[in-house]
Amino acid sequence: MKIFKTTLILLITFIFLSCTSSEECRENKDVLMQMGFYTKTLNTKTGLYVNTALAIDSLWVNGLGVDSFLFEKKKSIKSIDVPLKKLSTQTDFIVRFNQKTDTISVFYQNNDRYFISLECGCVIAHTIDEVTSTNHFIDSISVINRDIIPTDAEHIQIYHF
Amino acid sequence: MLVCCVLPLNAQTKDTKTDSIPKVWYNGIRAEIDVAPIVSTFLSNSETFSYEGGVQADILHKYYPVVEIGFAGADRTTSTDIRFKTNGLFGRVGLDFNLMKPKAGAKPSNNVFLAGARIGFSSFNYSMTNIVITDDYWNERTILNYPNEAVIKVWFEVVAGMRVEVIKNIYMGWTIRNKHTLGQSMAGEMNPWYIPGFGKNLTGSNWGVNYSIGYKF
Repeated sequence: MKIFKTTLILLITFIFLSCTSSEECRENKDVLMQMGFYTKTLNTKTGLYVNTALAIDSLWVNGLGVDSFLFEKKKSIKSIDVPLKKLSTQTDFIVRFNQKTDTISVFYQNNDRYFISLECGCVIAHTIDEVTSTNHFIDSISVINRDIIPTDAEHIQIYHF
Repeated sequence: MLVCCVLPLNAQTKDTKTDSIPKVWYNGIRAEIDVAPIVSTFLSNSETFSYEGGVQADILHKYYPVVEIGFAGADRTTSTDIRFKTNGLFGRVGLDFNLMKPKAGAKPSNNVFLAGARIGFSSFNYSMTNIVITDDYWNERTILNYPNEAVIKVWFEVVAGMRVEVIKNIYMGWTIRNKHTLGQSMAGEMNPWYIPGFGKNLTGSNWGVNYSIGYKF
């Protein structure tokens, strides 16, 4: 009889263990490309130029072909997160830095097998191939992290000298 | 050469002195089925099922090598309407040790308290469908479907349990298992929600309980 009691206790414990799983999607599903703004400043002690973050006084960003703005008249901003098209391999942004406007084109590959969890499913992640732009305000762009996944990381750096 | 021949002989004479009952190497094989799924399938709202059986040999009333085979599956639709479906065969091999010390001179008991380990294995297919992807800014919408993902999963179990001979040659008992998947999955890598023989695969570890009825040949 003792065995049966032990078994009963174990089975009840098991019931509670298996019932506590009311799962929801709680993970971050946003796949955003982060671009940071930088300038070069002269270090007077060493005589070398160093990269420093640049705060843009006012910034407008919209996607090419989309009327609504992602960022509108954003004040003193050092970096922005923007969504890339999930069903295409090129996304163009029109970015107005103060008074000057540039177009930034991002070329990439999509990965539609980036798994998060059963509740959240998969997201479409990207791998950057190339980033090009016009050069009214922007002097150069460097890609520092090609993989765009649902984590907070800087992907491209935009330089204005 | 002479030393080699003498040593085993010495050991043998010692053995016969201490044990009044001669040691039998092989003490039969127990075949059993797990009856816990009758309850557990009902408890999971029929989302998951798992049926299994096994054979376990008794070596010297001390070592219990075991082979377990089963069939399990899952069919779950999440609150986000994603559907996961799988079923497949699984197998486990392992060894248990009898933790009950036989009383000196007494006949070894058929009731045993066992602890041991298993290596589990399942090669199966699963589907994950109706994953809706939307983007409000670019006005995009698509549905991702993975209808046939083939995977092989291996896991390790630490087990403990007991078996009691209720009627002659009929055994009942339970086994509790703590399971851990082997191999680290990378961030973003596809991972099945359920693994046959392992159960729900949410954190890489899981618990399991079997309630067995068996016959000893």
